[in-house]
Amino acid sequence: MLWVRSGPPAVCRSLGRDTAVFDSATGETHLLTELPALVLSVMDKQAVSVADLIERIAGPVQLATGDENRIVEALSYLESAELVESRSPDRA
Amino acid sequence: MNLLNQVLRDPTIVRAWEAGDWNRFLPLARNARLLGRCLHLFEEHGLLDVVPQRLVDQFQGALAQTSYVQVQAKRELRQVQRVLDREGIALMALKGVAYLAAALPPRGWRNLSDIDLLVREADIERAEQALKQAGWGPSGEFDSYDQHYYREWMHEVPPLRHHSRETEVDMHHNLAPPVSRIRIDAEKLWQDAVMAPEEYGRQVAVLAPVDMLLHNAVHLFMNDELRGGLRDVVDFRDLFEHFAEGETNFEQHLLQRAEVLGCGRPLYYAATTARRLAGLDLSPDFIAAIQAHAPVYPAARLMNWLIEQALAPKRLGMWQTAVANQLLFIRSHWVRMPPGMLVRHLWHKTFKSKKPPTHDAEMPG
Amino acid sequence: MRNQDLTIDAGPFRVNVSTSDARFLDTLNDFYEHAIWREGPDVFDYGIRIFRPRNLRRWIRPQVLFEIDSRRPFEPHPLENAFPMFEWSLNWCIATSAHRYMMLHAGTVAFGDQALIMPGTPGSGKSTLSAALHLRGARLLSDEFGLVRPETGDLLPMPRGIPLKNASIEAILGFDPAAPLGPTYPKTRKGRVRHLRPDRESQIQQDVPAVPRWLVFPKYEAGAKETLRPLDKTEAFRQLAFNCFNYRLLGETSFRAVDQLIRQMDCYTLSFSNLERAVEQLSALASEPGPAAAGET
Repeated sequence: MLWVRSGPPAVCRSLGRDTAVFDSATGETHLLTELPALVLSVMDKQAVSVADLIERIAGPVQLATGDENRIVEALSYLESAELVESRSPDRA
Repeated sequence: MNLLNQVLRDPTIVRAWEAGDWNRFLPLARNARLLGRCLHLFEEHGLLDVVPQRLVDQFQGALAQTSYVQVQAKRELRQVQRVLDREGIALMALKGVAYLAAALPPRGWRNLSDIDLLVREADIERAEQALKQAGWGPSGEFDSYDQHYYREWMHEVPPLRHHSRETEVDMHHNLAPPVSRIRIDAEKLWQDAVMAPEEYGRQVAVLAPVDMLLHNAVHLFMNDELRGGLRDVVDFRDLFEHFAEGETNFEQHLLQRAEVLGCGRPLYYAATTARRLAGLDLSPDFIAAIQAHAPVYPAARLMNWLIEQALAPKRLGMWQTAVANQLLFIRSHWVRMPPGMLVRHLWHKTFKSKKPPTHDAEMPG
Repeated sequence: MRNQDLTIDAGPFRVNVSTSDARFLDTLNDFYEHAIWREGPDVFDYGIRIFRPRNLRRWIRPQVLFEIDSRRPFEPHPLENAFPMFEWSLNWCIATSAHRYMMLHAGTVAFGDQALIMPGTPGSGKSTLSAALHLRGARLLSDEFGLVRPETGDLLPMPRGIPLKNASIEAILGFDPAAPLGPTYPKTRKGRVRHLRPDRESQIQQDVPAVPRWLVFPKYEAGAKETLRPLDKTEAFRQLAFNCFNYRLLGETSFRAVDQLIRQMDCYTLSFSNLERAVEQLSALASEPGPAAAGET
């Protein structure tokens, strides 16, 4: 499964721990907690796998298994908010 | 003819306007949903300096609303595309949402409350099922008669709406209903379709320019009791001018295509109305050629009167407008349906319980 | 009576009212004495007609209709409720068209040139609080619409009659027995209603904007002790956006404007049960020295 954000960059404003996000592709505003906001911030038009995302976020640092699961959850949430899309590899 | 039509034909007249003119103009433009269009017209002609500031504010308010509904329409189109792409069903955008997708001039001001899509007749049931499985449901209540009307006699499934969003989706498999006197070969539309520019990783098909204009004509004068009103006539003018600029022999091409698709009569009405009420410039050759599709003279006169009362009344609220709208409603259905069906249809519509026309809107305060 | 025309400034909106109902006309003249446009023909935003239908209901349990742009968006009201109907219908006209502004569902008053914004759903008490603060000397901006110019963040006044419903009427009369209230309308769709007339100063200054400084979300709760609690930025953003009529419609414009507002204002919630004590708390807030601290909570 690949993940992509095909819309224009979201407009983000920090509200302390949370981030307010405006998505001009849908006209919707989202209030994101830290992890989904972080995941969104490293995504763009290039379709990537979860492994690629983890590398963008954590670099060479090894993440605990729990962390990987939480990133997948965050992606799922972002998808239901229409902020990102999932694609099967042949479609990308 | 009223102030709004006069402005559409020649915007510079506003240089001579006084307060009373503007006060008569604003309700006309607001009612016709042409506030945004008029602001652009004034901008294009360098007339903003004579428009009173409070009216500029009203226009801008209308454009803010337009901007919002356009975002929602494009969003809905993308979501539908995702589902239908997965099913391998070909899709075409129509009317307002097509103007947006193809980046045509009306996108600067055009409102839309739903999106219209074309799929092939063979695919339409599968498309409806796929959308329903993905979260779309019927938009509004339809009894079995309505369902029958939409599916068998018209060319669409009853409107759909996704449970978590507000934009209605109208799916059609042709531009004119099978039971009407106009039979369009839908495959010809697909053959000449063009791809709109890519946005957010997707492209959608739209009608070829001449077909887009013919659809506007057919839709306005055959389907909708002129409900689209002056706004759709202005669309016709804006699209015509845009396409004619981009293609030599466009008028010729349009006339030929109208023959091929059997849409001469609607084109006659659309073009002549756009010329009379919205300032469309047509070449003498075109005007002469289109006469071939005019109805007999008395019918033409009556239709022109009806159109003028419905779309360009001298003042709002005239009784002539109400009468004209009634007659056009009946005519529109006559044009669409064989007489036997028409009687049954009107009977059903009259005696179904309907909400009263006014509504008790939620009042602030 | 024959039709008469009256043009009234409602903040940034010029409203032309045409009516043949003498009682309604008197009430308009009384309430908006200092907001009437008298300088000859001018362009207006809304041309409104309040008239009696030409049918049986003209004489039997007479009714009155509201018309704008030759359309009648609402069911008729009883004739005696012409004034409240006009007020609510004008609000509807503004709420559905004035998207040049960001429109908060809020009571707003000004202390000097700084504004207190009190957003709230019905039942929050914002109208009653706005009325009470106004009676104690604050300039009335609006009890219903916080009109924000998104590009500058300014709050524009639109001082109109404040509709007090049912028990709020007694609450305000208890608070100030000399409060200038208009006629009683015993049977409206929102119950028993009387309007507080905005004072002369507020009407004369209705073209003077104010700078938003305090954001307080009120909540009337029987028995609650009056407490101002600071609100974190996430909650302030969420609730302010929620209480904005046209937040979604304005898209990025309102996103940026709301973000800017919660940064420049001091944000609180206020639960209250006693009007006098609530007014004291808010007045004390407003008399604290210095501009708002920049940065986040």
